[in-house]
Amino acid sequence: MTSIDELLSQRRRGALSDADERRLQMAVQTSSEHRLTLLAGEAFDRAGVPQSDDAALIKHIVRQVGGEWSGTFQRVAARRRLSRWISVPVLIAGVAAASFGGYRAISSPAAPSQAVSFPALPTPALPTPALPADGALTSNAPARTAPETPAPIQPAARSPLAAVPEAAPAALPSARSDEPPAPIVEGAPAQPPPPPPAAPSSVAAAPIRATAAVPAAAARAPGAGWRLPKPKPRAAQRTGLDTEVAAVLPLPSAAVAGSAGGPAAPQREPDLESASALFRRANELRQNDWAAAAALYERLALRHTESREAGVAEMALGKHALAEGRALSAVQWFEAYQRRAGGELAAEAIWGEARALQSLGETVRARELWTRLIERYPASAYAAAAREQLGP
Amino acid sequence: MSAARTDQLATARVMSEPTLEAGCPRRLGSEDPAVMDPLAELARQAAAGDPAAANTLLTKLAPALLRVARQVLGPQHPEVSDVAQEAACGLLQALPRFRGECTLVHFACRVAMLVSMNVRRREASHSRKTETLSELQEVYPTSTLPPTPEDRLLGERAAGAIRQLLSSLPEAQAEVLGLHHVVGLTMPEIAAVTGAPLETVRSRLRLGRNALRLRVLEDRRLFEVVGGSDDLDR
Repeated sequence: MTSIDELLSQRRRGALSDADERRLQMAVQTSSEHRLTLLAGEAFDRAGVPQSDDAALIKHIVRQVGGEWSGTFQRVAARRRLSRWISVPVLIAGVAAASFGGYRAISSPAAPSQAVSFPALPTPALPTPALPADGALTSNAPARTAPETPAPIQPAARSPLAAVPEAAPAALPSARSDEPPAPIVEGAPAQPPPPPPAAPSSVAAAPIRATAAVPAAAARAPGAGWRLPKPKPRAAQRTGLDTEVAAVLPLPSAAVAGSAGGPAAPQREPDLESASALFRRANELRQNDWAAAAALYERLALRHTESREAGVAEMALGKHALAEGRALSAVQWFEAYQRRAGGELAAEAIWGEARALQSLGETVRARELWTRLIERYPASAYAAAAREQLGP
Repeated sequence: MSAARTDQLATARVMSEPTLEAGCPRRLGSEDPAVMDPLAELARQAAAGDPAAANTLLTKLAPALLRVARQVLGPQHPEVSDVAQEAACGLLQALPRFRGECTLVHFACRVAMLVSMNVRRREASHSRKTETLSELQEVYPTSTLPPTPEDRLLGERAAGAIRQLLSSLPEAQAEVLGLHHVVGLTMPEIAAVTGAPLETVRSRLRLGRNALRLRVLEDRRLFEVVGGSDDLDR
């Protein structure tokens, strides 16, 4: 059997049979999700409708793009060649500089200004490879026969690139953070044990490892005390979201309380008269018993005037009154909402009031409201509708 | 005839235009798209470097590229034509990798979707620094609304929520969500065009929808309209 998703796609192509159309309408009436999907699809189709200047635009695109095409774009190929020529020397220079900096960091263990002074790396006494008999490799290569620490480079011999790590010692810990801890060498000062992991996150593990590898003096160097911000626990993030959502949505209050308070939190009696509780109950009731829901909405609007839920309640009451033909009541609710400062639904409230006034025969006031709507919210969808109402 | 019905018919016409959907099987899987797609030969010639074939191909596919760019970005967005042009470049460059497992139109739609999503992600990143996304949408209204029954407004807001998700979801999920809800492809078609297994597509769409549900619940206007006590709460 064809799924509703597929029916929705086929409907957008105009390829739906009558039976499938009926089935889809039934699904849309019983499911808000399908309804939203259908309406969103229609909105996307409206957005994708060709426009009057498309022919010229397509011609322009074809001229711009097709004119340069010969199996590849010449300009792109030229740019790639250029970037290749530039990137290779830059890469070589970067690797050389990094190698040189690393060599310097290893070779000057006693330098007090170094933020990271790794103990001298033990060079294992590897057997010297047998040289060819003709001695071809002996001309420039010094034979390394002993595990000596390389001699520090004299300042006069340093290249300008070498000044970078010295000038910015604090940058070194992060540069070394990906390396494994230095091996403990015989005779070297004992390293302090790594601190226990403070955070379970793998993100925090990198600086901890870097800190464990540096001596205490280096850890006190400027900039060495930085830490990654502790990641906010997931539970805390959820709590923030839940409380915010719970302010306006009918989430089960127990779930919100549980996530906020944790197991040790005392169980409190739910406040059935709070704004969020009234709002939630009204939303539950409105599906089956609008009169009861309206009573709760009204109570909410009167008792918790300043709450956000009260604003939504006023809008719901206004729209329902308008739908039932009680235009005067609708005007009052829409006006009540507009008295709120910064109401998110203000454009909708003006639109609703104008519609109510129109149905009362007060076309002049309705036109005033539509004009005001266009002035205040020119980019809103309601403004577009108001322009249509006002006419040319 | 209502304006809504007129728009639906216009949309259906656009979808069935020979330049857009010629040879596009209604249901992939039932027929071999490579056999059905008359653009395949043109694509092969264009991939081989034939500029005339490339021009013809682009002339046929550019409307689809523009349509997807408008659907993802909104018809008033200033970068629609740039996105379509960039997608056209990307399409020609990707032709050698086109395996013919879907129609060329759907392949082009996917390229346009990815390019448009990149623009949205870039804008979302910029807007986090400078302004909120809703402010951005006020600047670039997402559609030119005809007289508005409330359903249309609701559809616009739902479409806006989906557009926002395209810039915040992981790319694979956003791509599937966009190809299904924005472009209107079925899941087998998405599986064919992305080369992912059908179950993977279903899974990505399910995750995308979960995010969409949350977004709808956070949108007070949408939530108020849908009532809040039915399947969206699940």
